[in-house]
Amino acid sequence: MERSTIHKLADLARLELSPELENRLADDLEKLLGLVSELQQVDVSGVLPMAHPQAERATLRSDIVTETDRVDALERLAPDMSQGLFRVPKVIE
Amino acid sequence: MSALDSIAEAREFVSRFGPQALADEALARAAAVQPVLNALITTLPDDPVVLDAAGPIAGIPFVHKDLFCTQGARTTAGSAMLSGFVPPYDATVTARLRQAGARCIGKANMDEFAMGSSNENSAFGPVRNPWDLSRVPGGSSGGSAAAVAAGLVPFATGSDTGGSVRQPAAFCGITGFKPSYGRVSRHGMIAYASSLDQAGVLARSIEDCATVLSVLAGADPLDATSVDVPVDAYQAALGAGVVGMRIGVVGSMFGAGVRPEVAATVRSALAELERAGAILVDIDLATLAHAIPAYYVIAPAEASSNLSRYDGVRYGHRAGDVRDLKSLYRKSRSEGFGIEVKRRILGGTYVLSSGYYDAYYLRAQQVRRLIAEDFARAFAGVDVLAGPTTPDVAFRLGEKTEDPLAMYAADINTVAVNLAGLPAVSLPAGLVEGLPVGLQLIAPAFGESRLFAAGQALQQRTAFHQARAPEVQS
Repeated sequence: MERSTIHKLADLARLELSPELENRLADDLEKLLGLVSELQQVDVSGVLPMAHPQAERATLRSDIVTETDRVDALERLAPDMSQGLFRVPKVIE
Repeated sequence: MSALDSIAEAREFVSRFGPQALADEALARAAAVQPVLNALITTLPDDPVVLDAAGPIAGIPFVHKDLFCTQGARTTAGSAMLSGFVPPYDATVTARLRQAGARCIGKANMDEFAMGSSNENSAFGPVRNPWDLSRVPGGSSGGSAAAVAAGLVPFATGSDTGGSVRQPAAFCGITGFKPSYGRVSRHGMIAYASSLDQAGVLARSIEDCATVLSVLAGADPLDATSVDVPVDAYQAALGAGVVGMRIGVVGSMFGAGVRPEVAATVRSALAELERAGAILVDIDLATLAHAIPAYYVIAPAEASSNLSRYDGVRYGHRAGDVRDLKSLYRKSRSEGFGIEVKRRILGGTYVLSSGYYDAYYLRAQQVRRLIAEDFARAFAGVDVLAGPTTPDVAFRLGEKTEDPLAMYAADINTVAVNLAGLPAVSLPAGLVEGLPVGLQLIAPAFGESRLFAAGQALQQRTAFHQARAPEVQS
């Protein structure tokens, strides 16, 4: 696996990898792709993809408000929050 | 038998001495074996309990896999990412157990975000197998299985995405029940792969699994994938017997890679069911060979999507000393996730990326349908399917950590069930060199009752489920 590929994947997944970990995970990913490559041999022509085992039974619930404002409870979970807003580092210089 | 070995014994104890006395017994037992097994991430000496509940599990202590949200009690999913996460709400599974009066004494150790088959991927250290402390308990519900096998509690919850209830149950010599997809609400169960995840139960006996599933099963407006199919009377199903039941013995599940002694042990358990009146039929499922590759595309794909929510902003670990928003994301996630989680996120990101999506993800979904259709064809001729839960007994700690693919390959007999959304159970079938072996039975969707009937028939004729793990005798 090309180093550029694993770099791009890590960037897409928002992961920062040390060079050692990057090497190891590149090797592992290579092996995983080897394992799953046998899917290419299966004849799937005309087969509908199956995303979900119970797709036919899925129902929608009624569109009603069930939860009230829980900002206080959520604020306790957030690493950095004030006045009901999440604080993050500066996005624009 | 102790009061913590079965729900019936526990109820008897509670009726004489009260629920607190039994919870104290369980907590004392948990404290005694924790240094040896590491089955719990958090102990809950004072978890609130609904005192006026009546019913089969009122006052019964249990261990709760640490991915079910518990309001006010931290829920880590075995990850450093959530080591300080205290949910502001209960999972539906938690709420149902609480309403039924069950008493949570601790949150069970597990592979991080349920990714693993050995419990070695926990940020809180590995769990040890009560049958042999040098071996893994299986995973990802390893803490739950070890807790039941060691006699801490009569039952534990688990979740099963590719075998995570059944495989640890097999490795620890207990019963592990994975319901149909949609049978139990996933609301508040921390997600790994949403189209595969399903909550399950671990107990010594199939009877106790039936009792607990009766409490958990049913549609939930908070989970749109829970299904509004009537819940069978599982207790009644236990007594239905197996006379005339057709059991398809799946040849490929006994194939290459399965240790001959394991295969023989499972076949002898099936012979016991035959003596009880079942009809054994040889059957083959050609598409099972594709289950591992399909699973190891679909599960990482869904995982990479689900785990994108951990960003260091709203909850969970947040890295310090960052330059900008992107480095906040990158550092928080890199510090919070362990290596197996990173491995699956990267794999999932790859198979979903533009240019590879059709070749991997879409194709895996097509193969998934072929597998589901293969099961449906099989169930036209038989009532349940059978095979070994795992190809071998519990392996040693560290034996497969350097080779993730070897670990994945051992999931061969369990993952297809999740791809098709079926219910399945692992039943203790005997020992090989002193270590437990599991018989897996699989039923059509919402055919849980068949598994209860067959499981009970086996457990009435055998005592494998009552065998005690030698390393932790009280």
